Amino acid sequence: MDRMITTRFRLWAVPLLLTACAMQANRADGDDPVPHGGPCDACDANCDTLHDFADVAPFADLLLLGGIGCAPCAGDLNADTAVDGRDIQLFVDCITTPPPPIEGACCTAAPCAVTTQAACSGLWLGAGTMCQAGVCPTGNLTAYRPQRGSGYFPMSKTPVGDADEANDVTGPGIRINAPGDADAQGEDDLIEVLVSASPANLPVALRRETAALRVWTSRDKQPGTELIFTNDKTAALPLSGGAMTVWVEWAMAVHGFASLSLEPVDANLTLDTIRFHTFHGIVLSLGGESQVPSVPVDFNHGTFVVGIALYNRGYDVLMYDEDDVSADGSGAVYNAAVDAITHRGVDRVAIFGYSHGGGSTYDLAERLDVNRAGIGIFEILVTSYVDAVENDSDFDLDQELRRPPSTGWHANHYQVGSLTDIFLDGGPVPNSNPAPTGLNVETTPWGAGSTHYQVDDFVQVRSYIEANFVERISP
Amino acid sequence: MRMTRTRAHRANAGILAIGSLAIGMTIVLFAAELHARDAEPALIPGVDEAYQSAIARVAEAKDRAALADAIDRVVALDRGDKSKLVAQLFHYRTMSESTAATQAVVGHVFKRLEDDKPSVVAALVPYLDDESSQWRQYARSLLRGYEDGSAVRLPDYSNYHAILEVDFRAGREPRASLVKFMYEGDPGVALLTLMRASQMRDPAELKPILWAEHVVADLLWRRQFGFVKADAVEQSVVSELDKLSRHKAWWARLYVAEMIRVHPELGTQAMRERLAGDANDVVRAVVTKS
Repeated sequence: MDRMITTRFRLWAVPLLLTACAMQANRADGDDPVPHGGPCDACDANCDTLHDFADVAPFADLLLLGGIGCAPCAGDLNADTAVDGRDIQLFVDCITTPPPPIEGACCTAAPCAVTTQAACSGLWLGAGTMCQAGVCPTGNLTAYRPQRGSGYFPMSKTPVGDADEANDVTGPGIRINAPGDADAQGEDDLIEVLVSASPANLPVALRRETAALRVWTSRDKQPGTELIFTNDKTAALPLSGGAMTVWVEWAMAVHGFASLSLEPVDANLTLDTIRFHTFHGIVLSLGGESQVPSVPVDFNHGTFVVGIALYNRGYDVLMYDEDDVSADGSGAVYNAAVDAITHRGVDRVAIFGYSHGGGSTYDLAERLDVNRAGIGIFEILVTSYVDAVENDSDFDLDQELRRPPSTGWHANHYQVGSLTDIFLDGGPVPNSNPAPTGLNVETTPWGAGSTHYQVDDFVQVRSYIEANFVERISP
Repeated sequence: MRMTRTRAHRANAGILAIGSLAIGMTIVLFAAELHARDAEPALIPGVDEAYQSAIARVAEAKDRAALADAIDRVVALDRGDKSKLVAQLFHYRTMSESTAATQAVVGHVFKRLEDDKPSVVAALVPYLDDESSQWRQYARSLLRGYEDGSAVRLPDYSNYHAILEVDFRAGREPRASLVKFMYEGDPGVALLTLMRASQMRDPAELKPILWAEHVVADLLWRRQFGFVKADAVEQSVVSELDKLSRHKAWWARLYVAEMIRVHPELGTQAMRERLAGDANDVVRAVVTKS
């Protein structure tokens, strides 16, 4: 009999409670289950950590049938050790009244804001945290300009500035490193990237835009040093003291652009992004007799000063002693150019040189032009002479007056030899710039009285070459 | 500073030879004499103050006319003895403090000598064996310039031909340093130049060398212009090189050694082993270093 009464009572008690809860819920405008925590939650009658309508039936059972709920305190909202009528209103209030939102600092690309975890699209720092200076984690990716051989010589290790690091032209260039690349000086096509994050113990990961980017912890791709990407994101990076160096490879044979980002492992927050572009071009810089590339650069070696300026602007610049080009154009420079064209997709070439380096510019351009059928498709877009002298031997004094074969645009600066330079000089070259045959700098106010040894060092000459190369060939 | 370069242990035969040929020799004979000093090496002239003074005046010329005049005075000192002039120019270049300017002075004088290229080349060749690496480099650079090779022109070895021919006709081995230098420049042209200079007359001797060079050159040409892969290998080429590696003349075997040094894929293990045990030092050295 008691059981029948209880059952009938439950039949109406549960809907009644549900109705009461629903009415109160509407008034409270609360529509989400309320998560709850704590050692024993009387309101969470079914122990699912939520305060919602699913708690009504278990509460009704405790109210009508007694017994022990899923937790010792279940249903005993007034904590008087009994579940009875005095708990009903408190239960209804609990179910229908949303607790105050749990908020904390939310770090996104925008300024930090205090919000709930659910509303935070970035990194939520936890309940009760506030937006204060330095509270959000920071991270940085610093890419460097391309390597050469076992390091950077004859360039200095040069970081890409923050203002350029995502720029498709001036940002970090990267050589295609598909199989077959000769790498005469050893693997040097990976780009060094310094990763840093703060706080130092923040677990961070790299995210890549495309699988063309592979990332290594060794500069020469030692076995076992590749970072594994899953869905284009790595696991937590093994930073030491909040920093580490990685080496980025463009491992596909096709050109492209791709970003690499740093973010916390467990949050959608980009701490920093760098954007790579593959090199289409190569710039070959040839010094004069007895001029060899050095670090730091000798500022009397204007050709190398220009080479470094172009390198800093994002070009893949190779600087050489002009004797690395033999009179028939063969040698290390030619091999480097052919390797770039045949294995790295380079299709734009720039060559410039001073004195015998000008003569070598001609010899190199001629050989590249003659051997096109065996090399592939490329253009010699720009060339430049400064007081060019033929380079059939170290003692050759003949003016280099021939325009480099097949060049798209040629600059020429020269002076007229005198006692001071033992009558060593270049001369006018047909179809050169400034038109029509280049510039005799001695006809300018700044270059009057120049000698062979000075002509490559005028800022006007260097700037002319740099500006016109930048205008006519992209990296 | 190199004031004298007397090599006493080499002197007697060389001095006698020079003395006997100093007057009235043709350029070819002059070259031959220079070469003879290879076998019984040369007395390299010491610093001659008259030359040095005249050369220094080139650097003081105030205009191009004065420059030409000063150079003429230097050249006039040699009285046809280009070896002495070359030595004095090298001395001047070595002793000078200002690299760029003295390089230009020496360059001007050599430029003035271009019309006398055969005798200048003959005077330069002995320096390929010089004890000074700097002088060897001067000689190598100048000789390459006189070859006038480019991407569209094979090097001109005709001036070496005359030098080599004298040795061959005299029954001497050609100067090894020159032969090696030629092969480093262009192995094909070197081989054919040596073949002609060697006084071969029998077509049966000439044809195998001509054919081997042709077969190899043909493959290299097809590689150069993309008709085959850049590392393509053909059995006919390997076979010709193998045959030539057994040639009685060391300079012919040196062609193979040089070719497989530059193009290792064209050589076989048997070829390498054979050449590594070659009776000729130069051949052995090229193979063992490759």
